[in-house]
Amino acid sequence: MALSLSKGQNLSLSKTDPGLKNILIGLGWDARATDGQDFDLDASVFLLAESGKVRSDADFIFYNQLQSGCGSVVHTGDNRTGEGDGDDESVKVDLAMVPTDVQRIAITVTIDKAEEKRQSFGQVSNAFIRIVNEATGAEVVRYDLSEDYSTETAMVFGEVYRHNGEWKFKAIGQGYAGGLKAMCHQYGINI
Amino acid sequence: MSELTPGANAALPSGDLSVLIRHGVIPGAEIDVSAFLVTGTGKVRSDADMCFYGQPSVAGGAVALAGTSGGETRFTVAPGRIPAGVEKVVFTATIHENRAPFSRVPEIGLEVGGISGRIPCAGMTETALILAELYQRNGAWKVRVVGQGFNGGLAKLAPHLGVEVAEPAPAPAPPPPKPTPAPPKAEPAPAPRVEAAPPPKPVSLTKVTLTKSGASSRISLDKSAGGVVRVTATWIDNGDRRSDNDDLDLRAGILMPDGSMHWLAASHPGGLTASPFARHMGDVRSATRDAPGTEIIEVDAGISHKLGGPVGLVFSIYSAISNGPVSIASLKPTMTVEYRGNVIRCEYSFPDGKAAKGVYTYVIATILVDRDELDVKLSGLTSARGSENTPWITRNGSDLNVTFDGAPVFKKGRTMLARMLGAGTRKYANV
Repeated sequence: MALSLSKGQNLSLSKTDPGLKNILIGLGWDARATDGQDFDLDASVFLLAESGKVRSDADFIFYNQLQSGCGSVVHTGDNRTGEGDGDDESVKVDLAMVPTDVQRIAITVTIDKAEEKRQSFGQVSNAFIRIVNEATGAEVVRYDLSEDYSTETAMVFGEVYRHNGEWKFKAIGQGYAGGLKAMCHQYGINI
Repeated sequence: MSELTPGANAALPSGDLSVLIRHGVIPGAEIDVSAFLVTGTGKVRSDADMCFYGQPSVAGGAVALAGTSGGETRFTVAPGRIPAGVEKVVFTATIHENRAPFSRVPEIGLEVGGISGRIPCAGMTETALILAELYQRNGAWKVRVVGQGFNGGLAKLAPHLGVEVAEPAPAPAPPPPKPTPAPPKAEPAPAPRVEAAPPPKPVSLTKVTLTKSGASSRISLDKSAGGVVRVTATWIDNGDRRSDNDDLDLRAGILMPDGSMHWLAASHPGGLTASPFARHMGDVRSATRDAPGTEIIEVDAGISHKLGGPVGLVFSIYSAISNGPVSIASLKPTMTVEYRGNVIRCEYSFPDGKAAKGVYTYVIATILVDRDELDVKLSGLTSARGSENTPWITRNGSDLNVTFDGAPVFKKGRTMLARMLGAGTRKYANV
């Protein structure tokens, strides 16, 4: 049974699974069971320097740029409806390849056209983020966000970050209004 | 206090809660608000966990539909009495027969425990909406505004919540001729064979309103589920500022399979454990504007099986002599027939005014129960002016014919007068 974190908690990935080299970050949510416009949720990843900002636009991994400039982070593609079991979108990270001046990897999810469709995270059920050891398939840690969101349209699900030479994961669950655009501004991407 | 919008949640105060839902009205399309008690899987445990017009109190009263008026529906919820295993109470609004989408109301408002919520409805194509849910989180109750639903109405919403819905009955049509029932046997009936009970039929959410004389609708009775058919007559205060002239009586004549008639009224209450397998629940003597007068007759759903053939019932409203010259029509009597979530409303507009003067008995509807089928037919017949005769029925196949030649029946103490008047020639077996 994998460890489950609550909002704000963190865990040392290196200590929990010492063999961890390549991680798969799985993100999931349930497709809407009701009628109406589908929720199109998009996972995006920001590679952040000490400053809390990206070093360049090449550090922003999203549906139109599926790989980071350094090649360490690969987005496996966009799922438009949340249908299917397990992860709805996933991101692969080769931890050894992450440039040394990248301190944190922020994993975010935003609702596409949320304002136009009048949608918010509070209407999405069973959202989670989990970290899987890609080599063994074992789930290292999981965070269920269901009760940590409300009317936000952009959420930071979690962060993978360096701490005293090891990799840690923190359950963030912080929401914002304004969707992906607001998220980009937060991390220093000019769009 | 900010208003919750769809997706938002808030903690509720402890203690009993009143839930007010302001849904407004759509002319020509009825909005029904219901509550579903669901488990962690989002489904009801059984049909007994649906709180709606056909079942207004569930879980021993933990959730109750307190009333609907003026575009508002109110529930009471006692979180402390909600059974273990129930994790959410889901409030829904549905538009009867999908006659309009929710875009026809500007918004739906919600008030619970000092928290208010708002669901904007512009552009909505849905005819069934999940409005909000009360749910448990770390031992405390919270409310979340949802505002999502289905274009296919209740038929789509109910399975989502784990309720099987019977296919709606087809539009009221004349019932097909029934096969002639087997003649009753002269020898005593053999002991009933024990049969494996088929699973109960799903609760039906069909609601029919009959307004034209002769209009009819059918309810299928569920042999395995049993239960009673509840016939409720309701009338209002006639608004004449007198409280002593709103006394109407619901009465029924029961046509037995052997052709005899049985009288059922507050004075002749019958019973459910033996013939006639129907009972009058008691006399109510006046109505006020806030509390309409109501009298109820319960009929065993198995009446036809128990009495051994088709059973006819004629339901009438009688104005007590103490009312004086008040017209029954001014009290706007209506009647509902309910069985396991099926509701047939009988709303005949009896003529008021001069024509109604001296008319004592109004026949609202007849019911024919033949084995597991129950047909309600709206009548609207009235007794002749000044006549105390009672309505009588005869059966021809599946047709019930109403005539006004039953012997007058008065409340206790009026038997002498009844004998003197004695105009009706047909006598009841039990009077």
